[in-house]
Amino acid sequence: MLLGKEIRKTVLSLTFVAFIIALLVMTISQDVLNFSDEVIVFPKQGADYGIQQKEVPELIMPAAFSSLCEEFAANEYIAYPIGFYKSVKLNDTDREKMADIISTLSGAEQEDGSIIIGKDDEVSETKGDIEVTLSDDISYEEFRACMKQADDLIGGGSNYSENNLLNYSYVAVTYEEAIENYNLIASKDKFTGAYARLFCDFVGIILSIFPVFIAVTVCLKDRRAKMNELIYARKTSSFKLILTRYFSVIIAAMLPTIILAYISNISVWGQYSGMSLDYLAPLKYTIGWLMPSVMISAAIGMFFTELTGTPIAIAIQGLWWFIDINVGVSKLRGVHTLFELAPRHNALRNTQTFLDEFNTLAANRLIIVGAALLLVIATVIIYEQKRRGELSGYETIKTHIAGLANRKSKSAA
Amino acid sequence: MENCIEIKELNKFYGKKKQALSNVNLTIEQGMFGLLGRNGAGKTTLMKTLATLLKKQSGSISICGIPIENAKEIRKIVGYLPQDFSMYPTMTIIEAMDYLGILSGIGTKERKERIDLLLKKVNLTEHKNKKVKALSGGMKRRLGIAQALLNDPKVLIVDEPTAGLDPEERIRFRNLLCDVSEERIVILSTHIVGDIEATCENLAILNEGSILYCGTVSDLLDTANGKVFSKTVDKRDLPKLKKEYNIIGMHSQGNKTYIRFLAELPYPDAESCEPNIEDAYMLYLWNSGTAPILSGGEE
Amino acid sequence: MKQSKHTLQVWQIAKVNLRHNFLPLLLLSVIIMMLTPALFGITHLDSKATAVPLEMFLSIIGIILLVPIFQPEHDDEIKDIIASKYIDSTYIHLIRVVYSVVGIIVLVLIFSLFMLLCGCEITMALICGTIADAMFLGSMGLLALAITGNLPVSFMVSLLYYVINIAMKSKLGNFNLFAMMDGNYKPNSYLFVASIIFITISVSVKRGFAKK
Repeated sequence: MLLGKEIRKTVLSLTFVAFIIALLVMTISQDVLNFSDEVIVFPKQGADYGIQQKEVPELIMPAAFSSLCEEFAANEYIAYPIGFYKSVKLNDTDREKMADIISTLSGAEQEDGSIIIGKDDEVSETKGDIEVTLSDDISYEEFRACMKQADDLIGGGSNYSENNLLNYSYVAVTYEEAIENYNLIASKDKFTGAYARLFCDFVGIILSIFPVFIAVTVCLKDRRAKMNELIYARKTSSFKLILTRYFSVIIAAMLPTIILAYISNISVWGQYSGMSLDYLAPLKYTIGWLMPSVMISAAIGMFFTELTGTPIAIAIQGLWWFIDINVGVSKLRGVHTLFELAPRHNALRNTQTFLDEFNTLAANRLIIVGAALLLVIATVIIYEQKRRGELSGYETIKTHIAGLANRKSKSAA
Repeated sequence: MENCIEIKELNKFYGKKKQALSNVNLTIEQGMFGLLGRNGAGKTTLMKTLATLLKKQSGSISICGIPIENAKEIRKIVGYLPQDFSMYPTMTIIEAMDYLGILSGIGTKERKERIDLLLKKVNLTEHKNKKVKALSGGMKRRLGIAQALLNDPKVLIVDEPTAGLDPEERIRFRNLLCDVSEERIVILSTHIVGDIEATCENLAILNEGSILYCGTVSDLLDTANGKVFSKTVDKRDLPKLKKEYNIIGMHSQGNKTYIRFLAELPYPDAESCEPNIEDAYMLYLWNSGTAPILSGGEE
Repeated sequence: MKQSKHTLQVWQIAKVNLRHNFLPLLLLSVIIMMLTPALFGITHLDSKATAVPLEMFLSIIGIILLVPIFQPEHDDEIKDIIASKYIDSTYIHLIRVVYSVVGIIVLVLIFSLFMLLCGCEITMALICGTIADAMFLGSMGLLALAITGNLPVSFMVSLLYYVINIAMKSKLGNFNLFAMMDGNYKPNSYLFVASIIFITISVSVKRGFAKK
């Protein structure tokens, strides 16, 4: 059977061995193969239950406003648009807009980008010299809207983005909340789900990049062995061939992942004897959470390799991966976006956040799978064109570019 | 410095079990020397060993008096055209020649002169700005021979140079080799008997790493005298005859078939034929006990 | 006379390799370099903040420029032709190593100058550290290529080490690629020396395989 042969080819390659090594190194170094030291126990009265981010307007509003005024005075805003520190200075127009926002929030007047306190006083330009206070008439919704405007002016990723506003509001977890969290884990996650989720958080970092190498190797193998024409001339359709190869990459990447997910999860089963556990949790999470990342990584690998005949897919996927893992640093508690590559949830608990974000996560995973399948279909089309001699990868692209350049110069002449 | 290659008791293994060359003894003088053998006989291994690309396990090789261990000096006087030859695909012919000339240690002025001369010799001058990946098989081979001659070598080693070439290209190539074989040792390794027939005075037959024959072409033909026969037979009798005779050639003529076969003793009602090199080569293989299955199976 | 002939030879070999084998890689590295300000803020950063884009992103050019050094002769058809010539293949590899390292140094210097002009705190230690990071990452992949002859695997080796550094950081001690972000410059010399060792072993392994 073709699938069996393709899987065999994929699995018996040095690239696959390197992938397995990478997977093992990651899981062992991050201690996700054995969670037996991290048992979730029923909260005891009077213990320290840790702290949590909680949307408490009374805490957020004054702290965030104060920070905004400080940064406004210095005209220097800290932002982390892709997880890395960026210092933003606003131009005069944007500075006036920011002054408008502060004016709205404080009730103080603004003029030419400066906040006026009283009749003739002006805000000093040096840091810390602010005497503006938040107006009592501002509702939390209005406040959030103003903060969003401020964040947009800064370019995103600032302390005033929806996500980062919660950083101003950490509160201690109460006994009742701790019990609620525990009950959620017991009823919704059935304990094993929480561990499976944490496993996926770490392993997703590897699985969103390394499958691209397997896919590139699979696609370049024919070319290297000078077998292209031999295969082109065969009866098997491009659709069957590409899809079979694609699935061979997915299966090759997912099988060891599922095995490791179970090894990881089984390490805690014994700690919850007598409790209701979801024994399929590792399977559900690896397929639902990790497989879409593998799919898009492999699809990008196949598409760009067939298109160009070069391993440039590694650089393309590498760039997306790099940006994604760094953006992910600000979403470790389990917040998701529609186009993320490797969803994060770097906490054993936080089940409520997972439930709250589930729809976004599900939409994201479906979008990623959809994009992957579209790329695979595009790969089939490209492969078929090459088979008919109508496309020869990179050469055709170069010829097209040269052709466009010629047309342009002719029309200019 | 004597202009010959001396190979004594040469042995070469791949790993521990596979012996590629077994006690090879050869003396190759100036002129065209053919190395004939089937695929897997060890021809490429021997060629690569002479070109210093493979290390021998035992024995001695000296090329024009220089021991093979002195690879740097050997490479100065050897030109090599491998069986599968290519260059960086983005290079043009002239760029490829220039780069290989640099790697041959040739100075700029001399290099330019030699390249112009060699491209003219192999008829590639008008294609000199063509990229290597755009060359046809024949043009690539001609480029191959041109680069092998860059350093004006005393020894030219060509491994299966005509495989895959059309008849016209093949003849052109053979003539080119004959041209360059004056004042030079040219070792031509091939499994195409026609190449040897057309160009070589001396040859060796290599089989499973051992030398079966070494000598002149005419002596080889002498050994096959009186051992090659032909007969016209009924097509219906072919299956039986295939078991009986060592058939080395056949072609149909209506419902009769003309067969050419080897035999130690004369056959009644079979005509004795003038042997060619292919006949003699097959006879040697047959006598060595490694006769291939020539008859093509049951019909 | 012999010296100048030798220098000319080196330059001629370098020129051909730069044009046919190095240019696409250099282009990709330049793209990486130009992407860096788009992804990171590079204005008015202190030394620790300056180290972030240098260590985490710019050092990747080491992988691009160093790992594929043996790749042009990956094809047996080309390898035999080059290996049969008077000039040793090792010589060619060393020339490639030199211009690749020079390429890393030049790109890091250009970018550092740019950061300096943007008001960042750039020091020689930061520049040397970035070069060491890049060389270490690249030399790991180069060694993998020398041993395995497999380019994707070689990239994976370098990338895996990069990922391990993201995950484990200071646990890697004197081989932490991102130490300068924490103000620690001690690993720089270890990384540099290790990269030289890896490069030396790679070229030797390649030479050993060629002489089988």
